[in-house]
Amino acid sequence: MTAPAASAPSTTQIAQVSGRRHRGLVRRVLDRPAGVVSIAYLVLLIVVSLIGPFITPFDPNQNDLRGVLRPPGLDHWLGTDDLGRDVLSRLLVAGRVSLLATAQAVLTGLAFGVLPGVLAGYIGGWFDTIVTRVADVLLSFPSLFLALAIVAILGPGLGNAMLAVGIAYAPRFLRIVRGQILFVRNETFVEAAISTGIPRRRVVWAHMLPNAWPALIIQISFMLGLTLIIESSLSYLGLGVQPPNASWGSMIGGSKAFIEIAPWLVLAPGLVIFFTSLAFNTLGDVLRDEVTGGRER
Amino acid sequence: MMSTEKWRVLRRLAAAVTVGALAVALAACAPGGGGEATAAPDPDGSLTFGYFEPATSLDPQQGTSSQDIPWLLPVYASLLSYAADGSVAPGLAESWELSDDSLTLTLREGLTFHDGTALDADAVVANMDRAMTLETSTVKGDLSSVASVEASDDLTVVLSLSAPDAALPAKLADRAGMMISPAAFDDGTNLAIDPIGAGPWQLVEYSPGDHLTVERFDHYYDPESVLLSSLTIRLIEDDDTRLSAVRAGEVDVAQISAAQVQLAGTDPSLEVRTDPALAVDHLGMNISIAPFDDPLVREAINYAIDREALYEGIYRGTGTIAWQPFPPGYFGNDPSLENMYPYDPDKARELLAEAGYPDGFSFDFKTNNQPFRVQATEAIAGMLADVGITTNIIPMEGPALLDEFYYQNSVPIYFTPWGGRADPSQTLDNLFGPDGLNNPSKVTAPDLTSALDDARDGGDQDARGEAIRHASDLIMKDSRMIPLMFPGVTTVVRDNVIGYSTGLTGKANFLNVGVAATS
Amino acid sequence: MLTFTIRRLLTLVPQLLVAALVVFVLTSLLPGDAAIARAGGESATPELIAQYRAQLGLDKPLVERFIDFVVHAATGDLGISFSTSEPVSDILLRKVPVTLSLVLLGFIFAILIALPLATIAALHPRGIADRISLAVATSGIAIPNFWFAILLVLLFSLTLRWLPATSYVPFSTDPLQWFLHLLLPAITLGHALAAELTRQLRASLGDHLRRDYVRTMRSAGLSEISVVGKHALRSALGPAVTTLGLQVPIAIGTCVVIEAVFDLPGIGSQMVQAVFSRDIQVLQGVILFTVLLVVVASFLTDLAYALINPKVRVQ
Repeated sequence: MTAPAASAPSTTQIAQVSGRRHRGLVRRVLDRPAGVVSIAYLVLLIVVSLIGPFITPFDPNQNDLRGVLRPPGLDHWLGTDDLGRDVLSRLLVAGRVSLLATAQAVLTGLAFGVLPGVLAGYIGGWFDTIVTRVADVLLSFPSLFLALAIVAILGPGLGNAMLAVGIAYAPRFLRIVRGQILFVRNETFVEAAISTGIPRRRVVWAHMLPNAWPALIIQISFMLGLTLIIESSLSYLGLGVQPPNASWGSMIGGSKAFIEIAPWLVLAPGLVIFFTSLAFNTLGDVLRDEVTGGRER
Repeated sequence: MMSTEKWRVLRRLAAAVTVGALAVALAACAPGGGGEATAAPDPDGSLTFGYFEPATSLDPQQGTSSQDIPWLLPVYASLLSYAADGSVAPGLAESWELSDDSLTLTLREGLTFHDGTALDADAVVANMDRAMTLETSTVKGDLSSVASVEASDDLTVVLSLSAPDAALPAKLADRAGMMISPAAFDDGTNLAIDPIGAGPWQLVEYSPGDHLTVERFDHYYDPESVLLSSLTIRLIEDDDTRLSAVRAGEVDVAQISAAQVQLAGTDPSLEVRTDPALAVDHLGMNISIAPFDDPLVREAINYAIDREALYEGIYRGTGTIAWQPFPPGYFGNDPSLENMYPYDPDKARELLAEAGYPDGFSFDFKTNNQPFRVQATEAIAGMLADVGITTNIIPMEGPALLDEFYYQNSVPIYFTPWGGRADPSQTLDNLFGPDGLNNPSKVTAPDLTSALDDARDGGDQDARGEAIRHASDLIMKDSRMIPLMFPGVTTVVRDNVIGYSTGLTGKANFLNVGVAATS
Repeated sequence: MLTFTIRRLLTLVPQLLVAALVVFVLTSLLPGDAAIARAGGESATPELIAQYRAQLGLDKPLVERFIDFVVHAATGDLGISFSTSEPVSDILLRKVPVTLSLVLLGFIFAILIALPLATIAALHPRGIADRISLAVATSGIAIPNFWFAILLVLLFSLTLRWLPATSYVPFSTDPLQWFLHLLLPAITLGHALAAELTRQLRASLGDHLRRDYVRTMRSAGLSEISVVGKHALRSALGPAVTTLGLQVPIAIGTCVVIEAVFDLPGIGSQMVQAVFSRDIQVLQGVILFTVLLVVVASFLTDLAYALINPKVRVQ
């Protein structure tokens, strides 16, 4: 749950380069082995999650109480769980749950972070002061605590949990957007655009905000990795996805008691979480390298 | 020592007991019998018991949780006690006589408390007065039928009753009958942490929320049954930690969950045993909520449950399948109800169609969020889905769930682990009576109500047994209950322990338990 | 320095008041009825439930309850737990040492992991150590902590039987057992915290190593150990202190999961318990105390930074 926020590139650095060129960014990321592997894995994962329910060898929610905790074998490649359900099938279906939840949290964070960030950067003054203060207070709460408190109010459930996580992370997006807007507010191209009579609102969205995109995309990539971990932690504690559905985290949570007699129940979903989070983080690293021009020295 | 009845109860347990530990298990089942043949108890032996819940108070009249009992049992003796089959037996009182308007207790001679205070009729009266008048007393309710208490001589106490109460002796074998030294409550001793009773052991050290250590009390009324020189109860809340502690030898005996049986069975130095108890896991229902108000639907559910599969997959071969409120071997059990609703999904579908639900129906299946209960609920939901009843499982916090079940009348059915009660009428009245808290619909039938009355007021044990069996028949005939399992109490016992078993009330008992002298 | 300290201290008061308000509003929205839990759950009787409802003051208006809450909290009275009837302050007193022990050891492990890795990595950019440092930094973020913890338990406790898997022994009871019981949890936490620290240290140390003063010292013939250890590393530690300060809330948040896996009776597992049992009083107390902890940590970080860098004091 360590936040990579502090290691995100400084706003100045990015603004300088992003002005120059970011058209070839995708291409440059794909040129790096780490970049292409991460992207290939994530694309594969998304495809599998989309078609997952159609390719599961068994019904993921079908109990078989006479065949609980079967070890991996020809029938059940990854064994069965404490209710006799096929672990591989559940893993395939849980992927969609985990990924959708992760996306939901990051989108929530963007929804709550971008607009206040733009306004704070553009209007400045007392509005900026209030918004940044509130953001600072939110950041000072341990994010998992905040998520737990919100879950306590709204009740357990993945939607609620992810809403909570999204709100907890909105300040990070807010800071980035605000910084970028502040940076370009007095640039000549902005003043030029305004003087040609383009409405201010359009200037903000069409000319100023795009400067924030590279930094935002890097942050989104890190946040996806981080949120996946938070989602699985909450589901592990029993506060995320609710049975009989599963996310990768809840699959581990329900199996801890059986770790000695059925370790596959814990190993398989854990590895998938690890690889996925690793892919998001590596992608973030590669993106940052390419945007700022090489690894931070 | 062990009645044949108890053996009949134990026959299902063979599966739970690992082969390697069988010899030990047999010894453990027969305290004072075969046990001595294998090893003699060490007169200086000490035992550590791991328990999963802290005591709310060591003052038996002020604690709020039924989980206090194992912490209280070593220190306090009760006026009466339970025999192995759950019936009432002598305790501090060697005999008792119950009539419609009074209960007369005759105490043993020469009893004393740990602090040397005499335990005579006056001490009992002082205890009863405190239990009935103390503002924070939690046993007031148990004694609500008692109008007044008097000592007619040194050893005789007469409790005058305002209404007939056949369950009173059972209550006096429980918390309400635990005697506290009157000297202690007169001089303001903080009994919550400094208990003084007349039990088999007396306090050495108590660290709330951590452990209780007691040593043998030489003037206990039945010294032969006190085999342990000292006893420690350690609080270990987490199931896995508790089992690890037993495996590591830090703890000698501990209760575990069914999910841990397989793992515990792999350790040859441990015996895993499940003792029958009065607890019954069932589907609690509000039979005023459609479609559960229809006996056909309830009957369909009874047929839809594959109890054998639950026994294998969820209970891991522990416990006994339940077909009625009371377990086999108990005096209220009716053998003719066994296997009344065998697993038959086709029959269930037919009954649903007959009730007007040919395509089944769906409902919100709420459950307490404890892992075991969620697991059991998921398993049952799968069985219901097979006959066309689809569910939406909603795990909730216990209090919120109970609030919805008891008061909002919005929970039709949920997996209920009923802990059992000292007296069978308490169970029946609560679950099926017109005022029962666990019968939120308050719906009952005239014949059932009168059967419950008979069971509550009716004479000796045989007559009451008859009445209870009649009530159980009526309950099961209408499928007012969907019984699943008598989970019993599953315990891991290290192989140096002699004679450990759990009584029908489900509470740990340390009398007649010893540890083998180390060779 | 004194005025800076006092000024900084004064800002803590409104911060904590706002936090108290947020905490109170959040927890007051909780549904569920604590009186039933208190009265014994499934075995509750209606009379006992009604009695507890009145006793817990659940019928009083919100504003009245908030004022009570703040006044009492200021005097250290955080109310009484709905589910165990223990004073919340007693619960905190019992559980805070566990979490603080874990956090402290976790930070020590983080430094033990990060410092050597980052130093070697900075000295040999793109070498093996550099790659390892990057791997540690990334895995610390990408591995789910609870899963890493379970794997450690499986290996070191259940298979090798070297270390205890669960529970906590107070330092005052047995310092060695205290350490052994906290070892695996602290490694888990340290591994997570080391990620950020390694990245940060490596970057700032690398930066300092390329500066003129290092070049000058090296050419003057000072030993490498003295150059790196005494000078460059010392200057690079400043930003590292800030990083550590920023990670205090993250560490406490991570404790929630770690304490759950290792069954440690700290405030993290208490928090989860309180969420499940809807124990409003405990929830309020735990969150409020955590905020206090975070605020004090950030105050100490600022103080430490001001000591290292005097320019901050005038701002």
